[in-house]
Amino acid sequence: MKTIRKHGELLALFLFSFLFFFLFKYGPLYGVVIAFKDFRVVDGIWGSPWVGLQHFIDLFQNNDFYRLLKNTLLLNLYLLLFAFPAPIVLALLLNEIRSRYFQRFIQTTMYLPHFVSWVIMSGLVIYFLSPTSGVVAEIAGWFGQEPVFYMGKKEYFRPIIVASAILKDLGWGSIIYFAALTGINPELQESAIIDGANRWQRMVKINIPSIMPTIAIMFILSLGGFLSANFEQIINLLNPVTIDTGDVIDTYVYRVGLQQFQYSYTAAIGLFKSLVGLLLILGANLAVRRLSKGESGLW
Amino acid sequence: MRRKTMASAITALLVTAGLLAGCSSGSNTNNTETDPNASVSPSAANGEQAAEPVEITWGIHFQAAGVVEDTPVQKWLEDKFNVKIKPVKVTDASIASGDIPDIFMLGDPANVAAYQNQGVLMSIDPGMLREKMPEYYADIEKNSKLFQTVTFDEELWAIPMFIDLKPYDLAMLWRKDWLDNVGITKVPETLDEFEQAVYAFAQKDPDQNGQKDTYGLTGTATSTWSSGFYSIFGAFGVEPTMWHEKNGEIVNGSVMPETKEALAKLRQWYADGVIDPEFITDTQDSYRKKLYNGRIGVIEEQIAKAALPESATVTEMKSLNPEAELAFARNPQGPGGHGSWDWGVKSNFIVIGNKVKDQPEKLEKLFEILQAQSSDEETINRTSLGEKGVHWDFAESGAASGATKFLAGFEKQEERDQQGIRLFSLGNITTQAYREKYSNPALNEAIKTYSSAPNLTDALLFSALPSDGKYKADLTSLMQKYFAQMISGEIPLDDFDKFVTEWNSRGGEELTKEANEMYQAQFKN
Repeated sequence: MKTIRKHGELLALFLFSFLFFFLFKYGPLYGVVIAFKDFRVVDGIWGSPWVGLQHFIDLFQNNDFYRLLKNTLLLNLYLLLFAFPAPIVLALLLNEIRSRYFQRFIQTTMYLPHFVSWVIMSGLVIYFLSPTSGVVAEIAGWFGQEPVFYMGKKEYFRPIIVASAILKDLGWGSIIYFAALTGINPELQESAIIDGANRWQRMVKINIPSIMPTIAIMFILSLGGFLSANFEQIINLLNPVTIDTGDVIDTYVYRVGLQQFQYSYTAAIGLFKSLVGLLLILGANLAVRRLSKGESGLW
Repeated sequence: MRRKTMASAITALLVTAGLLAGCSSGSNTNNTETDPNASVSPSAANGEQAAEPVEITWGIHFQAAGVVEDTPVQKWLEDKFNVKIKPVKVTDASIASGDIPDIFMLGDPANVAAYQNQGVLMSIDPGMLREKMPEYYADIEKNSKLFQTVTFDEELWAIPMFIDLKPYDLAMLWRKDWLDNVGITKVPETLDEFEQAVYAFAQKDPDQNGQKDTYGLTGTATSTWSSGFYSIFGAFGVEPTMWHEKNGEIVNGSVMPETKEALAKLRQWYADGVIDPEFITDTQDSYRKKLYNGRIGVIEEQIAKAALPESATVTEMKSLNPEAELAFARNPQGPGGHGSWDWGVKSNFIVIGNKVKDQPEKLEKLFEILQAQSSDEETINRTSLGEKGVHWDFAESGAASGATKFLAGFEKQEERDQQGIRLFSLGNITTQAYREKYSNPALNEAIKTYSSAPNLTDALLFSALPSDGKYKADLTSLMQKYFAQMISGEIPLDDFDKFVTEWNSRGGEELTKEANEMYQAQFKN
């Protein structure tokens, strides 16, 4: 009781986030039971009949499922390989710029695309990549390249998703790393300079190790959303030709489930996805803790 | 000590959580129970004028962006029918959460089937329909097959509406000045003339700027229901995804041999640079823009948007490019006749929420309003046009019939929504007499001239098959993928046979069987 009174303000602050998570994250968990039922609106969540694991069996027996899983895993793997490190590199580079104004200017302009919705952004991407009126074909033309219809070839779909994801969220993603970089004790840098370390050496020996805990946490967090990333982006860029490589679990759920009232089936897919996400988070956290000898990681 | 306080803090949180959970489940049960206030009052049951207005939850027109409360139209309806209206926006999500309006509209038999499956609809007694709405019933009996499209388990689940002169039927809109520039004097009428014209557009510099920057046409491979290039497929007598009747058998347009012939033609055009490669990503909006920008020379356009000098696409073209001249023409005549995507005689469907079942007084009211929306000129005008002289007037000043126009300040749909116009309108429930009086004779004439209807429409009137939900979306995207690749030359044309096999094995065979059963049972004769 005493502790509560002592930390009353902190607890009051905590109450808000508790309420948020309770109402919007834990409360709706009750609805997950429809994954094991045959949900019908008029019967309600509890009144609908139980069907056990039927929806999961349907899912694993679906011919498309393995294609969807493969697409989802591959796409997210590419995003992790290319889109995840990009903001770190940007932050490190920006940190080396001497002119404050130039630095701020670059930062601000790079945030902008983050605030454009994917509906608009994908329209721009399609326009940029148009073989007849797009800027990409124009530039390729200067070097004597024949224009390529990137949106109409399935082998380009994943690179386009990765590149446009980087384009949109590069600046925004770099904020947290930039903040971490500014938090490095300047004395470290000064003594390194006195010792004769050049920029590269300082970056590798001071900057990167200093922001490593931040990188580790961001890595774990991004793994949590591993299978559900970029739905809005993909649905807006997908077309019939690229569906072989671009159709992921979420777009399938949207097309087949939500548009046709198959809530139970899609809830089952969602649950499966969350399970994979949970395993990935646990695994990544374990790995990070092992590698850092218990110093970083979420818990 | 520390542990103990922690424990009590957690207990406190859990208690709060329990309270919250209690609240939410409490409100849930309230939702599923019938509202006690809505029970029939004895005086109304005796046929006397009820003093208390009936409260109606009304799903607004599905094309309207959102609810506008207490609009003039709503007030007018409330006064006239002694009701209290609560307008709501119907979405799949709102239905799934159990909020079911008393009356709303759906676009397709497939939607009606899906909602009926969820148990949210009330079945409608055809006898009551005939008794309460005699004029409507007499009209629709001429298209009585429409009732079949929304009859499941031998009960009627929606009030179908029909339309015979469809302003949204498609025909061809040509750049007349381009035709002139390439030396074609006659607007193409056959598929061969069509071919000549689009080849000339691609090769003979129709915009005379000395650059090869034009195409004949483009398509809409990403449409949600079919494959685009409707008039070309139509010239071969098919429309992909539609069910066609052939010698008493029902077959799907996606897999008919005629479809392969049409694909061969399109593939040739693509290889010769006549079709814009961006047909894969183009939409109806973007191909209109391509016409405006002088990139393509012909599009498929709705008759109401292109046939008359004051039509939307024509005026837009004029304002962007005053030099351009347009000409409207029928769909090209090919080996299989002429045709385009045709939605048939069906219009939207009115459905009633399942809770109305236990409220005869409310049902009575709903039918009173429906009857007025069908045959009472004043009610129809108020809900669909607004107040005469304020919101709308006849196009010809002083006229008492014919085309109507919206007055300044209400020309945009969003402006009218603010007044409640359209929100409660039910569209084509109106009688033939009303439609004749309030339609534009010139447009009706144009529809009769240019529309290919009823050449190619769905043999099952777009009814939903039992397994549609399971397979249809998947098969449509399979078809789009194959067709786009065959047209663009990415895969050989003979992969069509591979496609047919795949289509059949992924549910198409089952659907074909169901389609034939349904046709035999309900639509033959």
